[in-house]
Amino acid sequence: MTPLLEVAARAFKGTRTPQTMIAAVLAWSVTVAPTAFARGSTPPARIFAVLALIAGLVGPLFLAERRSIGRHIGITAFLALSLGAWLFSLHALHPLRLSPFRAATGSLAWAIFALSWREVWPKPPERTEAEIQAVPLPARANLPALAVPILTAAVLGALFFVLGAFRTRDVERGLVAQAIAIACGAAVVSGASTIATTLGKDRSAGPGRRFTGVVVRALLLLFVIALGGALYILLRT
Amino acid sequence: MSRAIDVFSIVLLAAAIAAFGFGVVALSDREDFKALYLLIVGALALRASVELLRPRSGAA
Repeated sequence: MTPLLEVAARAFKGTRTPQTMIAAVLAWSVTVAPTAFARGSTPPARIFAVLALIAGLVGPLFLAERRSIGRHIGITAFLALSLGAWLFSLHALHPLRLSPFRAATGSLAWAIFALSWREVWPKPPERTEAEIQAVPLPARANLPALAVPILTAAVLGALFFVLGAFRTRDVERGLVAQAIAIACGAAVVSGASTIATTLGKDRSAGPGRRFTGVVVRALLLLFVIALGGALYILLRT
Repeated sequence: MSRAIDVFSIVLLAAAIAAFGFGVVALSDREDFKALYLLIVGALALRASVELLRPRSGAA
């Protein structure tokens, strides 16, 4: 037997491999198979779907020992091939044909798939007697006063984006609006968290001045595009 | 100066949130050009606000 086959054979002795394989089959059977094998689907969609299933089943075999190979096959290849199957069966993915029940089940199946590939953190070593009796270390710094209001505003803004996208009446445009709203929300919350924790920090040990070339270029680009776009919209109307 | 930059960064963040919000609303109102413009402005304002407070070391 080749070393790879030996690794795969040993993987079945644990419980993680079968769990991950079942999760991949579940995600595949709920979201990939119904679209790729729907009436009128194209042969490439079916080929991609079968290859995705193979990748989803083979990847977990290397979970225990050749973890990076397993992740490349079981996650990257599985997702890429599933995406290929969806792209070749777009007619079956039309929003009008999507049932809310299948959408909810599919989301749950992919969440289970993601959890099945979780990293198991190593158990920390037992604490010594001295460590148990030691006084907890105080935090070196407190959050800036405006950190909570800034993050709250960002989270509320992100929620507003998603709610605002629900105003869209066209089904196809609605999907795009939701995707853009979620992306904008994630970007705002991420940026606001950086700002909230960085406000008021002493920069003397850092790059020295804050108006670096990157900052000046970003501000200039913002100014030019904001002004140019506003003028263009004004002249058009 | 440091305080002014903090305030400017918060103003840019607020502008980014407003631009994204109006951009999504414009998209739902079928005003594609306006939506694209506002989303780009929002992204640039957000990037500038973060860069102001956390400049990349080594930048000119």
